[in-house]
Amino acid sequence: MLVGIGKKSEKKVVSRREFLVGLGCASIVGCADSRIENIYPHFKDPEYAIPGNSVYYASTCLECSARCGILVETKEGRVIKVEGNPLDPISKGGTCALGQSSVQGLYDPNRVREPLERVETTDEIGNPIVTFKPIGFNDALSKIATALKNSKNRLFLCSELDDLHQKIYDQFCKDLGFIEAQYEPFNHSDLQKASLDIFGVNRAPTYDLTQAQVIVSFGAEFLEYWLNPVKFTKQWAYMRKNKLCYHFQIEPRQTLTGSKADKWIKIKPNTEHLVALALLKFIVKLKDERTLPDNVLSELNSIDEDELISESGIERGVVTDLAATLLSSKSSVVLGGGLQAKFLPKVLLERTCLLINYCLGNIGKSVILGGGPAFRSNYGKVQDVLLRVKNLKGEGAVLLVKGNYAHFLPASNSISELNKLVKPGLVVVFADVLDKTCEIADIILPLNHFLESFSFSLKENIVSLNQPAMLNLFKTRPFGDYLLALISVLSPSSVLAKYKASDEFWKDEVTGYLKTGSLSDALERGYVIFPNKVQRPLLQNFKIELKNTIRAVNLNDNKKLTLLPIGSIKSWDGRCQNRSWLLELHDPVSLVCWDTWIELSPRTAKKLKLKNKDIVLVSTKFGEIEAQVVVNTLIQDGVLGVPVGISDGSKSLSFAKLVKKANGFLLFDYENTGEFKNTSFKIKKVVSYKKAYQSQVTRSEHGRRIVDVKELSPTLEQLKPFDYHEHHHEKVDLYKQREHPIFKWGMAVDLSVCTGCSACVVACYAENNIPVVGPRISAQGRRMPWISIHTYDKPLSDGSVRRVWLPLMCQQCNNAPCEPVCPVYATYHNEEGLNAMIYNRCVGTRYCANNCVYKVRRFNWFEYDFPDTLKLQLNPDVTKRGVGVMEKCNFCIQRINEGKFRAKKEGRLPRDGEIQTACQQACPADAIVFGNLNDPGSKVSEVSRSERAWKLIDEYVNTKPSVTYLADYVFKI
Amino acid sequence: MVRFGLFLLLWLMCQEKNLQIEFEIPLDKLDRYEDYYVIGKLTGVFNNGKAAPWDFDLIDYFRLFGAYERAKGYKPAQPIKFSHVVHVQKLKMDCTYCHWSVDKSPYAALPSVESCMNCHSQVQSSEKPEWDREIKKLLEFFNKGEQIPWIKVHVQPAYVKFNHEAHVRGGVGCHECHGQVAEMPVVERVSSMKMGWCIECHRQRGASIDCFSCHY
Repeated sequence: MLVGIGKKSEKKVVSRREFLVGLGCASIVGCADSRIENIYPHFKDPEYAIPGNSVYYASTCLECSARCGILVETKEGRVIKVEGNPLDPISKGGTCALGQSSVQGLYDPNRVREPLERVETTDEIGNPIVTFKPIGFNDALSKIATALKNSKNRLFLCSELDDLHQKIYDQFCKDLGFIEAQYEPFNHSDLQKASLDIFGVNRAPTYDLTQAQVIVSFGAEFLEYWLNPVKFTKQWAYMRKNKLCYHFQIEPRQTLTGSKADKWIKIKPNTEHLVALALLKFIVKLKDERTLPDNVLSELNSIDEDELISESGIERGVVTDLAATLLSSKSSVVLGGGLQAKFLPKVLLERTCLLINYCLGNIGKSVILGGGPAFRSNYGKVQDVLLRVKNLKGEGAVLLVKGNYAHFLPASNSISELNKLVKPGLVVVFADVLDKTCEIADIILPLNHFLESFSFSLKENIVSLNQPAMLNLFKTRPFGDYLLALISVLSPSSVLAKYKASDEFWKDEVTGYLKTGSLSDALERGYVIFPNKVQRPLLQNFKIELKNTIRAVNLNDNKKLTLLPIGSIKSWDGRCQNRSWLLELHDPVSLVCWDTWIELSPRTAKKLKLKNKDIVLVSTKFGEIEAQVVVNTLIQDGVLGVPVGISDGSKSLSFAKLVKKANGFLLFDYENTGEFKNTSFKIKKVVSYKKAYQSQVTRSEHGRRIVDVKELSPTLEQLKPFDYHEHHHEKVDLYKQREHPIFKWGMAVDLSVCTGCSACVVACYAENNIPVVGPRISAQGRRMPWISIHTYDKPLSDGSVRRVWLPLMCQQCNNAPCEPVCPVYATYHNEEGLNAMIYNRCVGTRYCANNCVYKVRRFNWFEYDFPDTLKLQLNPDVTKRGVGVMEKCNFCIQRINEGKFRAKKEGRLPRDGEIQTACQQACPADAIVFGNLNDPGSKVSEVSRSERAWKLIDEYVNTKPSVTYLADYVFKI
Repeated sequence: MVRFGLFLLLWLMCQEKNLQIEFEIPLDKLDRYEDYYVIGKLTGVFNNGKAAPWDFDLIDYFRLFGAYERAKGYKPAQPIKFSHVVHVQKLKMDCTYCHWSVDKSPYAALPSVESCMNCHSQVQSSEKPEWDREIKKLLEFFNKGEQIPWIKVHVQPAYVKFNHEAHVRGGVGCHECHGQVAEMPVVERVSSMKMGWCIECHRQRGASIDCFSCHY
């Protein structure tokens, strides 16, 4: 070719065609990729790690107070995935969306990478500029030490801590004369208070749902984020699958937990405690035993239950039926609390629930007193915290802050206000990411992520251990190290002064708990068994304090709308604000991602002249949010549901900053109770119908039969009564039947226990290197999840609506519509029954996605980048897809291949249940089963033969999917 | 004319022997290895390193276009002129002494600097100045505590998942893909390592030729 051009050039004539040929050649040469790839072997080989093989560390998830046991998967020394630890006696291998995303907390691109110091300068015009410059550890600590020597006013604001750091924190505050102040916005200290008031046990109780045939929950979202959701989901799912268990949920807006209830009772907001009191009165009356102390009985007699019930907007019969069901059952449990009951004097609700449990004889059976976490006495009271800060006098004051107080403090007492009080004192912030709280700091001290540090947590009867799964990513230190360093300088006589680092203290403490066995064995399984001293419950002298009821009732003004705080599995209290997986995850109830929203009932929306997807500005005198309107049929009329926890990201957070004016906490005010207080608010339409993202246009099935719900009478004989194949036509097939000689991989999803918690979605993002596309592309409907939670509303015979969650992944059809249309055989059916997708073959015609009836194929419209440190999380076993390539669920083929190879080495076939997909592993309800359908004895075959089994829209399109769904059911009570 | 040229090219590509261009090694690098014998570098390579006819690619034959390091015959100069001839052929060291994880994991590990020093803590110099120089380089890396930036010879694209353990346990000899490394003064890529070449072997041995075996 080059010769040809040379020949022509002799004549000095280059034809157009030859010029183009030459250009083509030149461009090929120009595009040649000749980067040299280096391999760096270790300097010293690590002892236990083989490059390319995963090493698992047992640890504990510290995202919330539940402290589930986790296994941290590391490859080449970096953490790539978090999975539930199946050995953990409490969480039993389940995880939640938050726990799955903790890897992103570790690799957060906005981690504080070294100690920083505030520098204040002014620009040319004279505007102040605040920057932070790096400072050495020793310099930072000596600055704090000097400030402490000169100060008498010292306050330590702190969030919830694990037990190791709690001990160090307590000792630190005692030694150095710090005033303690700990606060968590979503706390359970009311539960602990109730337990202390009634039984004298100063720990929160825990619950054993396997001992309960009837679960009555007053707003407690025990399948989402209340107390210990993973454990409760495991137990609840076990009961739903194997035993007869009714579930009643009483709340103003349907949560995920409410959607799984057999009977969801919609009440007016802030009246949970009224219904609970009425229920208690009915039970006491019906039971006809003098179990309660006289003063309580006389207090109960003084209330008029009809008034209470009518206040809550339900009928008397509902409560009496509930009482009758509870009394007729052998075992039961009553739970109370939750985020929607935030306005209430919650201690009253918790007390009433504990009393009902006591009357029903559940204490010691389904209610384990003193089994739960012990919260600090000042945990739930932001008012205490605020008072203490206000007592700090500016001169020589030292304020240490750990936790994102800027996010959840009320607007009237925002962190910048607090900062003004403290100035010119020193403010030190311990932070792992550069959140809003960091903006007030004089010195920022970087913290290790919990996957990088040692700690332990006391759970029911075990001490759950944390160990570092990788070396520090940045120049950070564990929280305890800073405190110990300050103790050793300022208070050498302290008991902790002998420890130089928190891991030494950790070792001493854990060895103390260790009765038998070695420390390394304990670390291998992740916990030490340490029986809790269970105190015998003794009825104390207490009052129900009815005065509080009246106050709460007054909150409900019939003329005005009520502001209702609602929660979401994607945000919880907002501490995980900068995790792109969670931001991109759609909330299953509102279907919104990357944004905040408000929920209204259709009637209220009509009254306010608002439609779905309108953008409104909700403002109170404290703050405002700009939110999407979501019309939800399952919310009480006259209620404006505002999600709290969606963060109003600080500018320095690369993902959270994309969400603006979203902090629901700002709308509420706190009064002396320390709880949210309902306030009057204004609502203004900003944009009508923005092209905002909602994962589904409608929840209606449009006359098709996509999902189904069966209504069962509550007798065990009728648990499996229906034949699902009535609609399936086994007609003559045009296609040749596929043959699958050894394996036919299949999946079964039990919709009756799927709570829509979305742990599977986040696990899939983590396992399969799924890119996050951001708010703009999300709004265009180009999100990339391989598995997502779809929902449908099914009307029931009694007129109520059952919301069904449908985790939808590639169905691996036998007659796949996507296969024959691929022009390059990039997608084909393999002999293991998988609908293979080969990225390097794909040319991006997108015919397959158009032809897919389930719409589960995702196209890479752009080259999606994994910013900065998030690259380190990528799973090396899975190819990162480039632009122009189709991708979809492949049943975690990397795990299948690994499992098959492991079995082959041992000369056998993979055992049933040995190969677990990422979604199956993450599911806290064990709703997903995966295995070989060719083996009739496998779990998945067994489940697929169930009477409730059906294949998704197969009856219309004859795709013959490998995924089987099991119909949801409710008990008609 | 152009059409004819293209046809000629295609024909030439199929006749790859005619186009075996010796890979140029600068003379000053080559002449230090006069002690090495060359016993036919290609012995034992599966299918003589040739890809299937449909697997032809400009990269293999011309090395003009495409990724340089993925061309057959790629022979980069390494930071230390480590000789497999000395270590394997003369000293009879086993492959798995250094590449210890080859039967344990998907990757065949390169020896850590410390494991080089297992022997070289004793062998710290050589009579031959060109060998001595290389040993000194190693000692320098060791003293500095640095990793050796070896240059990858057998580069596969990211969308191929190759498992060394599976192949070694399945009875595939190292030489079938890597050639007689023991006889190479400088390690070179002796087979095309194209998909057709892989599949040819998979077919012959009855291994899976499902795309999902390697691409996911």
